Amino acid sequence: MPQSGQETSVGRKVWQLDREGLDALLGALATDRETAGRKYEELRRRLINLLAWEQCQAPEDLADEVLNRLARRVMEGTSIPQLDRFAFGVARLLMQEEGRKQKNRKALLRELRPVGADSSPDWPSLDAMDLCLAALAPDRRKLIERYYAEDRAALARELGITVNALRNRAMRIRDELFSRAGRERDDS
Amino acid sequence: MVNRDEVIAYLLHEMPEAERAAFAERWFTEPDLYESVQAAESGLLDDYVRNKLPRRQRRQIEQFLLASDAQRRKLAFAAALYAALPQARRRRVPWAAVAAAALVAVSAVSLWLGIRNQRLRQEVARLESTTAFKSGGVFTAELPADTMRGASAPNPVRLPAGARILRLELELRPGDQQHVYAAKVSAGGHVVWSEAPVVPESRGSVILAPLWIPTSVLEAGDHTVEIDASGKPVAFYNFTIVR
Repeated sequence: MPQSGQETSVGRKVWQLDREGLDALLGALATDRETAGRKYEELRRRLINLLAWEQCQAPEDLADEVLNRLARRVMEGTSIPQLDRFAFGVARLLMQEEGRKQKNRKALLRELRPVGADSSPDWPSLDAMDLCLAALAPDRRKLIERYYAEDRAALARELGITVNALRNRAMRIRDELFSRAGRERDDS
Repeated sequence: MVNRDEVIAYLLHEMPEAERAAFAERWFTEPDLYESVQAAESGLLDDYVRNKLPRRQRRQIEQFLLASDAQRRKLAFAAALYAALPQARRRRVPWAAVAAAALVAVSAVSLWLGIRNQRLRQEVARLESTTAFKSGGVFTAELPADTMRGASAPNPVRLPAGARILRLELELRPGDQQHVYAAKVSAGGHVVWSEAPVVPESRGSVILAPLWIPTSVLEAGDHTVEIDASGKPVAFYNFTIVR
């Protein structure tokens, strides 16, 4: 990874997030460090999804680049009344840059061949998934099991909620499982 | 209040570009809408691994939602969740389907890059219509319906080099699409692959039950597929692997 201010192979300077930049960005997100850290992670996840849904091939790297640019702007003293909207704008610009790069590489990429089944993710294992499910509170585990196994309209009626509300509840539990499985992968 | 169809249209790139950009800015800055988009994506991937989606939507997912490792991890998670929950008939993650989706998705990268190139699009369309071998290493073979409910005539399946997944499409008799099936593939008296649930899908007027089989389990020679419904065998298909 290039360090702060280092030149890349194409001669363009890349600004990397350093301690000072991170502090500035966290300060812009919230006054207390704990909330700022949580907002940083949440913003990063949202950026990754945005870039992934726009079919960027390395959404995590690009999300980090958006955050780098954002931090740089904050450090430079740019007035940013709505950080979310500003981050979105930076991400759009980056996507356009990526689009141009991909266009230039089109001839090369057309020659891409799938690398085969070995490249597919084999995460999470069934054992890991069982552990994640076991870690859920019993009522939450029961709900997600029933959500996938039963008629959803009938289940929603039984619980006295709308199907949409049921879906939202189930998806939040699913999201919790996904995050937990991701953490266990990162820890192992 | 957001319309779920609108969210799915966003995820599957069915919106005009300007509308899509405006929608993206909306969800990016509205937490409730963002949650809805995430939920819709999860629902699509859940349905994908459960084989509940029509063919067109499956292809859209492969083309638009599986372009990166980050996205393919979401699919892998959906598959593992499916296998881990009690209603799954088997305690096995359907990695073959995940791998196949990943393979098709990687192919989709080059497809997407050429999407503005008419010549390339035509070429892809031509390839898809004339050969069953997709560049992602997925080889598709269709076996006709066994109208006698007994063993059908042998069908040679010539696996090309590089084929990693055999997608076997078993033609069902009219009315059979009402069931959810289990399938067993045997060779020499041994089961070499089992899959459940197998959910039929329609292609025009034809009803097909798709199986995703890693070619590594298929040795050259005769194979039999047994299709069960509610634990009872209802159809058999024969095929012969030729390498």
